[in-house]
Amino acid sequence: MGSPKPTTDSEQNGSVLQETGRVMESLPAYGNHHILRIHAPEIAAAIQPGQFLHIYCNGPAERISDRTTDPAPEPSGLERLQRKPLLRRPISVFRRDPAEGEISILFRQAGLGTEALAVYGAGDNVDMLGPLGRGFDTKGDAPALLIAGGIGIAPLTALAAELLGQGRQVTVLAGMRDAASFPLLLDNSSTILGCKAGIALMCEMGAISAIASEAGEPGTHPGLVTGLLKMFLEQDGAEDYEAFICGPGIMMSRVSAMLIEAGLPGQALLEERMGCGIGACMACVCRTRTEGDETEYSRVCVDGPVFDIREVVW
Amino acid sequence: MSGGVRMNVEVAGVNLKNPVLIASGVCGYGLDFRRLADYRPEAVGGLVLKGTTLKPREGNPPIRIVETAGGVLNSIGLQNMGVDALIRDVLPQPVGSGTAVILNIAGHNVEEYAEVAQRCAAAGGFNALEVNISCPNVAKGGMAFGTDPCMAAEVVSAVASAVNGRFPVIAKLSPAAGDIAAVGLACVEAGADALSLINTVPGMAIDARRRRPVLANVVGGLSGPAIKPIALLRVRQVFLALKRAGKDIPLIGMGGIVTAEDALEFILAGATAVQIGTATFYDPLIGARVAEGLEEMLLDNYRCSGRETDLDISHYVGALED
Repeated sequence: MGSPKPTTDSEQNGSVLQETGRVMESLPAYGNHHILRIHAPEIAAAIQPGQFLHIYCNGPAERISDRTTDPAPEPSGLERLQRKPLLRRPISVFRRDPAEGEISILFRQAGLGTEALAVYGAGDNVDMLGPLGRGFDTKGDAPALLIAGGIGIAPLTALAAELLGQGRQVTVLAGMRDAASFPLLLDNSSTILGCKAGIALMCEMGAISAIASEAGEPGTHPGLVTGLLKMFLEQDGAEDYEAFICGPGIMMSRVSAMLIEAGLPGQALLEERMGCGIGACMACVCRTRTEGDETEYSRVCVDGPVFDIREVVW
Repeated sequence: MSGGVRMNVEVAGVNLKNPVLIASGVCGYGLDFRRLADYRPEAVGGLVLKGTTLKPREGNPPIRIVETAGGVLNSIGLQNMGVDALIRDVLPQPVGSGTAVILNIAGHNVEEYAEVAQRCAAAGGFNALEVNISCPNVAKGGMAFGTDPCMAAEVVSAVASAVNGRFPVIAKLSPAAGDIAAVGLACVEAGADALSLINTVPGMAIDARRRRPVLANVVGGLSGPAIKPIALLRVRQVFLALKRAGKDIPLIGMGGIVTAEDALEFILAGATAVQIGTATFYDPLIGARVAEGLEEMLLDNYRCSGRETDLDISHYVGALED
């Protein structure tokens, strides 16, 4: 049994900001997915792909234009929490634009917190902690293979932008249930792995993409993303790639096993229910390997959320 | 302190600059919060560190936390580094940065509690020891010690003799005790210098679609505003029982405190100090805000009444009119 890592890296001290962002745009995406574009210059300047925000989704405050008194009375205690989420919700950065001081998040409405978050509109304030966690290590120079399951495409979009900016070649394999439940637009320009359908945003950014769909949408690979990955790994030169994955636990577990067998290096972004988000409460753990054959629980919020695929006990 | 407000209180010989402490379990070992750019530990009265056992514990499997109506259910399972690492790696660091540091200890049996207490007391570098006889999330020990007055007394007595007067001993009581006042009195007779209450309330959450408990450990401890009325009643019961028994022992109240008004309610019920836990999850700087809010409430009271005593927080302790 390993002993949990207790202390913080001193280089992270003071790095987490509590910033009140201003929603610039609120866009329903496909299905029950939603995009918020938020002006938060301090966090936008610092956040890296794979890092996340811890958002207090208590619903937008009364809009200034609706107010009859100024300032609005502060709701207190139970009134403030009643039927509203109490815990913050960890959400990865989807796109970032430090020059404009903006970040975007793309999320699936899956419960009280994310449903409240989807109600925010332009002009609303949103209370965020960030940047949090260890993001993707982008120091390598190998061509990148990004593998997404469902909403896992959100943090991988920020990563794709970063890697393309560095001049790295990016290939994206995405799995989805059907086109209607996929958060991003599809295009028909892709021709890799026998797929005509790719992701429009990835195409715009200069990445190559292919999609697997369980519903067998036209132009996609019918089935799971692991099917696409199998085809990819059979290609010459596949072993030169570095992989980055994000998706449901079972998908990441299978994808990691395939990547490890094929000998590719890889990083995975994990998700877990969180309390504090800053390493104190030990709620959001995953099992990882230590030196030797031992394993321990690591904190997803500060030791991750990005882990080496060989470090995680899947 | 500003405008003549007296916020400092004394709990079991420890002078706290204000009565607002951060509860065990939400502030780790006091070091993680330093990641926050605006962190000011000196704005609160003290930090209670993560419950520590003799050997390191890896804790329960995930899922460990789930939000429920007005509260949070957790089952961490006392994941901690063990007392030796605490002494070696944490206590030499500036954990409190000018605020009181209270260690929280737990064990599987009486001997383990005593051993942990002995090692901590020998090492020093903290202000008081809180004995967790009320954790609902470990299979053996934990809460069992806190529901039975005799067992509680046995643990507290062993810890008190191990510490041997070098540090104050605080017993943390469980709301799961049938008669919490009896457990509290037993702890005091066994040598507790203060009592803190309440720990989380045992509960469970169910995922109806999967027909499974949400938490891997099935049982968790409920905290947050949902438990505040339970906690207030327990504080009041223990306060009155101690008073009847002629015991002048301070209480540290907790359970769902979110605002300064919540904190003052606990103080009126009989708590000399309070702890904030769950609320730090949505506002990591809430301790400072509650402390400042309390100060403002005292000033407001003074402005209305003109009574000097309204400026002194210790005059509110147990001052509930009933």
